[in-house]
Amino acid sequence: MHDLEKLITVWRKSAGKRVKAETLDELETHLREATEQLVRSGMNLPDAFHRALADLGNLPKIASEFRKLDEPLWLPVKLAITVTALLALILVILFIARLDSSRSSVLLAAHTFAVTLGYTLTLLIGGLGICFVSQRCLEDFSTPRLQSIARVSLVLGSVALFLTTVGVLLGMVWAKIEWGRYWAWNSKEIGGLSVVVWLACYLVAHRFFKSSERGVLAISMLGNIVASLAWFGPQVKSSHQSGTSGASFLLTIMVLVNLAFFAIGFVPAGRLRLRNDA
Amino acid sequence: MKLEKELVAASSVPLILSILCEGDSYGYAIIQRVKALSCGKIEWTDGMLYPVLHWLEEGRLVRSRWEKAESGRKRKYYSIQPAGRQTLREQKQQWMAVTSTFDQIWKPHHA
Repeated sequence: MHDLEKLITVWRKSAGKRVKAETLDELETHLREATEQLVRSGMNLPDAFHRALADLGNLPKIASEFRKLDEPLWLPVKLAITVTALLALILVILFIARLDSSRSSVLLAAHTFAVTLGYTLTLLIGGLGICFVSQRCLEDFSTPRLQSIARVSLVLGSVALFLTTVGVLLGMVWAKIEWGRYWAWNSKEIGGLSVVVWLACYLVAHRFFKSSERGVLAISMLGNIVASLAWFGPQVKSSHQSGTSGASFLLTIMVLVNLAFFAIGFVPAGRLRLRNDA
Repeated sequence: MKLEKELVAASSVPLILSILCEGDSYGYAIIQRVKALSCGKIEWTDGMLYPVLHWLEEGRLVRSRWEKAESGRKRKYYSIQPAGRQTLREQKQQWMAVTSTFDQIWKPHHA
C-alpha cells in the first residue's frame, strides 16, 4: 500500500486549490475504497488506482460542479446588510451625543434609536421581498440561494422584533415619566404595537412554513405597509390637521406599490423571461 | 442498456435520498448501492455524486459527519433529515405519476 500513498500524494498535488481540503479528503477516501476493492478483485495496484481515478472522473469538472454551489451573496442582501450597519452606526453616534442629557432625554433617545432601527429593518425586509418577487419573475432562485435569503430575512426579522419591542417598552417608560401614564392608544403607540405584531407573525410564518421560503419572502413586503403606516401615519394625521395632504398622497402610493408587488408574488417564476423569449 | 444522461441526473436526488432512508451511508457505498440496485444500468461518474451530496447538505436535506470506520479509515457519513424525507415523499409521488402513466400507455394491448 506504500505505492498507493505515493499515488495519492501525487493526485492531491495535481488537485491544487481547485477544491476545498475537506472535499479533497472525501474524494481521497473514495479513491482509496475504490482502489482497494479493485485490488481485492485481482487487479494490480497501479492499474486499480488509475481505473478508480477514471471512475472518479475529471477533477476540474468536479471542481466546477462544486463552484456552482458557492454562489456569492445576493446583491440586495449585501445592500440590506450595509444599510443596516451604516444606520446603526449613525444612530449610535447620535445616541452617544445625548448621553450627557437628562435621564428622560436619554430614555427618549434610546427609544428613538431602537424604534428607528426596528422600523428600518422591517422596511429592508420588505425591500428584500420586493427584489425577490421582481427577480423571480425573470428567473427562479436555486434552493440554496432561496434558503440563504430566507435565513437573512429571518435574522433581520428577529433583530427588528427585538429592537421594536425594546423601543416600544422604553417609550412606555418615558411616557410614564413625562406624561404620567404608560399607554394611551395614540397613533404612534398603536403603530409601534402593529409593527411588533407583524414581525411576530412574520417570524411565526418562518417557523411554520420552513419548506416554503418563497411564500414567506413573498409576504414580506406587507411589512412595508405596516411599518410605513406606523412611522409616517401619525405625521400624515398631523399634516391633515394643518391642511397639507402631500404626505398622505405619498403614503397611499407606498401602500399601493407594495400591494402591487405582493400581487406580483403570485406570478409563476420566470414568467416574464418566457414572454421575452417568445 | 445504459440510461440517458438527463434521466440519470433527474433521478439522482430521489435515489440518494431513498438510499439514505435505509440508513446513514457514505459516497462510495451509495454508488455501490446504486450499481447493485440498477444492475449497473445507472452509471454515475463517481466524482459527480459529491457535489450533489453537498448540495443536499446545503439545502438541509441531509447532514454529514466524519466518522472512523472499523478499518480505521475516516469516512464522511450522510444522514437524511426531516426536510429530506419530505422532499423524497414529494419526488416519489411525481415519479409514481410518471411510471403509472407509462404503465397504462404501455400495457400489452396498447403495444
